[in-house]
Amino acid sequence: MNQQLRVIEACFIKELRVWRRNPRKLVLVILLPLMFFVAFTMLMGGVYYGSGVDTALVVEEQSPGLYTNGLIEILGQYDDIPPRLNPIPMDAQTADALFQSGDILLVITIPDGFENALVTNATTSIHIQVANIHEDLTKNLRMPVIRKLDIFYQTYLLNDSLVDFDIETMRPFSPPRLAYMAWTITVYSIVFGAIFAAGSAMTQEFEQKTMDELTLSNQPPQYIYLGKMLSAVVISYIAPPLLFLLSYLMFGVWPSGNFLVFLLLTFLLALFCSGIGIILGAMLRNSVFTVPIAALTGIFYWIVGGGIAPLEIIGAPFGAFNEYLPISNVYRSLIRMFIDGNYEWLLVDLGIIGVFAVVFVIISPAIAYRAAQVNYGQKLQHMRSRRQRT
Amino acid sequence: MLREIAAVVKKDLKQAKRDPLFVGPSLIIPLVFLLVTFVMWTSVGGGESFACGLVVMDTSPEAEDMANIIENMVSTTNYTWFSIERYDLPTAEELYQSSSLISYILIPDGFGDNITSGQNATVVMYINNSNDDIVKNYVHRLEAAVLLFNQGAVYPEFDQSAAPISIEESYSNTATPSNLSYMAAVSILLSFMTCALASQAMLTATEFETGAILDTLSSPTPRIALILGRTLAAIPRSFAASLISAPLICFSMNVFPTGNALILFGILILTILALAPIGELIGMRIRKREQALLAGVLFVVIGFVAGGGMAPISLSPAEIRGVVGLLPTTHSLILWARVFFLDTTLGLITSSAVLVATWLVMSAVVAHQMKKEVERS
Repeated sequence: MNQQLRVIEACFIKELRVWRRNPRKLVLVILLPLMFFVAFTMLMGGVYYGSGVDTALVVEEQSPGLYTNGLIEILGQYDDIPPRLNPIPMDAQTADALFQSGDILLVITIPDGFENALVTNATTSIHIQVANIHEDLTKNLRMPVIRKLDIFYQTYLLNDSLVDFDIETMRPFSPPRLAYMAWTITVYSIVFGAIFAAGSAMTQEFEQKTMDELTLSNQPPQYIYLGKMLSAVVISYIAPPLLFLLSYLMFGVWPSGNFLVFLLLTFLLALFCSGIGIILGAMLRNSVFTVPIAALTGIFYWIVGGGIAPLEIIGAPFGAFNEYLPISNVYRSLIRMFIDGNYEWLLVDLGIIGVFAVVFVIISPAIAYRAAQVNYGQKLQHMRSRRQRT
Repeated sequence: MLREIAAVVKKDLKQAKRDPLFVGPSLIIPLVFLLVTFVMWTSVGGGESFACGLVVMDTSPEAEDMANIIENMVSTTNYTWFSIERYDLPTAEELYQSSSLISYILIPDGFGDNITSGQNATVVMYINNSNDDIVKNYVHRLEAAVLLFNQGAVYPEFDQSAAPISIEESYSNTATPSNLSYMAAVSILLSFMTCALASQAMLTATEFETGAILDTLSSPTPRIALILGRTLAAIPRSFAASLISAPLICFSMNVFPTGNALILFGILILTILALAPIGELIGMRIRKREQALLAGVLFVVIGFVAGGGMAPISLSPAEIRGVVGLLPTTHSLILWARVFFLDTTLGLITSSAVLVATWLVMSAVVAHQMKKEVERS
C-alpha cells in the first residue's frame, strides 16, 4: 500500500479508537440531535396529540333543542384535522375566571335564544373569547371554531350552506409533519456530527499536547488530517439510523426514496462539514467551543434549508443565495426525495456538494495545518495586554 | 450572617469583574436565537400568509364574490390568510405539478348557476400534501372562506350580521403579539437565564480549577450564607448582562413590555433565584470551566426551547406540559410571556411558587454537595 494511504488509514483507525474510548463525547453526537428532535416534537407536536385543546363551553341557552345540541355535539366530535377541541361545560363565571387567569385559552358561549333564532330563521351568534398571546397560537385557537361552525352549517343549515369544498391531494398519504422533521434532523445530525467530530479530533491534540508529536512525526500532516476527516465522516453516521428508527416507531412511516442517494449526498456533505470541522478545531484549539458552533450552524441550515417545512414546496423560492450553499442543496434534494421520491434537482445538487466536498478535502488539511501553527488565543491576549499597557 | 453574605456577594462580583467572559453567552445566544427564528417565521410561513393559486372558471357574480372573499379575507388578529395569485387553469396545473405552487383553489364553471338554482356549488382545493401540517393550514383557510360565503359575509364589508349564526370574538390582549414579537420578548429572558445559570456554572468551575473553592468551603462561614451570597451575587451580574441585551432586542425589534415593570422585575428575580443554584450545582459537578459553561448553556437552551421559547406550549397535551413543567425555565417563560404583553396580576401564583420551590430545593442540594465536598477534601 502507498505510504500516504497508510498514514490516512492509521490516523483513521486511531481516531475511531479514541472515539470508542471516549463514550461521553460519542453520546453527545447522538444525544444532541435526539434532544433537538424531542424539543421540536414537544414544541410543534402539541396540536397533533392528546385529547385536544381544553375549551370552556358555556351554554346559556335555556331550552336547548336540535340546533344547540347539534352544535355541542359537533364541537366535541373527533376531528381528523388538528387542533381538536375538548369542550368542558362550565358556567360563565368560572369560564371567565379561568380565562382571565390564563388557565383556559378558549371560551365558546352559546347564548340564550340561540335555538329560537335558528328555529324561526332569525339571526344569532356564538361568542368566543380567545387568548391571543401569540399569533400562531391565536390562529390555532380560532381555526377549529371556524371549522366546527362550517361543519354545523353543512349539517344543520342546509338552506344556507350553498357552497362546500373538496380537497384533492397530490399523493394518497400526507406524511406526518413530525416524521418529516425527524427525517430532516438526520441531515442536521450529519452536519453537526461531522463538524464536531473533526473539530474534536483536532482539539484533542492541543488539549493533550500531542500536536507537536504529530508535526514532528515525519508524516505529511495533510494525510493525518485527512484521516481525521474520514473518521469524522464515519462518526457523523451514528445518529441518523436512530432517528429514522425513532420516527418509524413513533409515526409508522419511512421516508420515500433511494437509500444510496441518501448515502451519496450525505457522504459528500459529511466530507465537506468535516473539512470545516478540522479548520475550526485548528483555530479554536478547544473542543468546548466547537460544540456550540457546530450545533448552531446545524440548526441554522436546518431551518433555512427546510427542516421544519419544505420551504420550496410551500412557496418560498430557493433563491440564488441558497443555490450556491452546499448544505441547502443537500436539503433540497433530500427533502424532495423523502417526500415523494423526486430527483429533479439531484444532479445539480450533487454537483454542487461534490465540488465543495472535493475542494474541502484538498484545501482543509492544508488550511488546518497552517492554522494549527498559529495560536490565535495567545495572539488575542498579546494584543489585549499591549493595548492595556499603552 | 448578613455581613458574611455581603462579603460573599462582594467577592463573587469582584471575580465576575475580573472575568467578564460570562457576558458573552448571554449576548450571543439570544441574538443567534432571534436570527434563527426570524428566518424561520419569515421564510417557513408560520402565521404569515400562505401562498396559494386561484383559478376562476366561472364568470357569474357568485363566483366573483367567492374569489373576492378568498383574495381579500384578512384575519381579525393578523395576516394569517392566503397570499393569492390568480392563474388560468393550465398554468396553475403546470406550476402545481412542478411543485412551484403548493396549492390552488378552483372555482369551477357552473358555480354561480348551481347557487341560483338552489343546488350545492363546490370549490375544489388542489394541495401538495408534503406533510399534514400544510394540509391543516390550507384546509382551515378554505373552510373560513366557505363559511364567510355561506354567512353572506362578502367582500368588502364581510358583514356577518345577516348570517344565521355569526361569530363574535373578543381577545385577552388588545393586540396580538406577532410570532417575532413573542420571540423578541422571550429572547430578553433567555439572555437573563443564560447569564444567571451559565455564568454561575462557569464561576463555580473556575473556583474549582484554581482551588479557591476549598478555601471558601473550609472557612467558618455558614453554608447557608455561602449559598445565599453566591445566589444574590447572580442578581446584579445577570442585570448587568441584560443592560446590554434588553435595549438591543427591544429597539431592534421594536418590542416593548406593556405589563407592569415591577412584576417583570419580580419575575426576573425569581428566575435568578431558581437558576443560580442549578448553575452552582453544574459547576460543582463538572469542575472544568469551559465544560461547565457548555453544560449550562445547553441546559438553558434546551429548557428554553422545550418550555415554550419559540412558541407557547399551551396547546401541548397535559402530559407533555407536565414533563416540561418540571423545568424552572418553563415557569419563567410562562410568567414572562404573560406579563410582558398583558398588564395583569392574575394567573401568576402557580409558576411563582414553582420557582420559589426550585430555589429552596436546589439550594438544599447545593448545601449537601458542599458538605460532601468539604468531607472529601
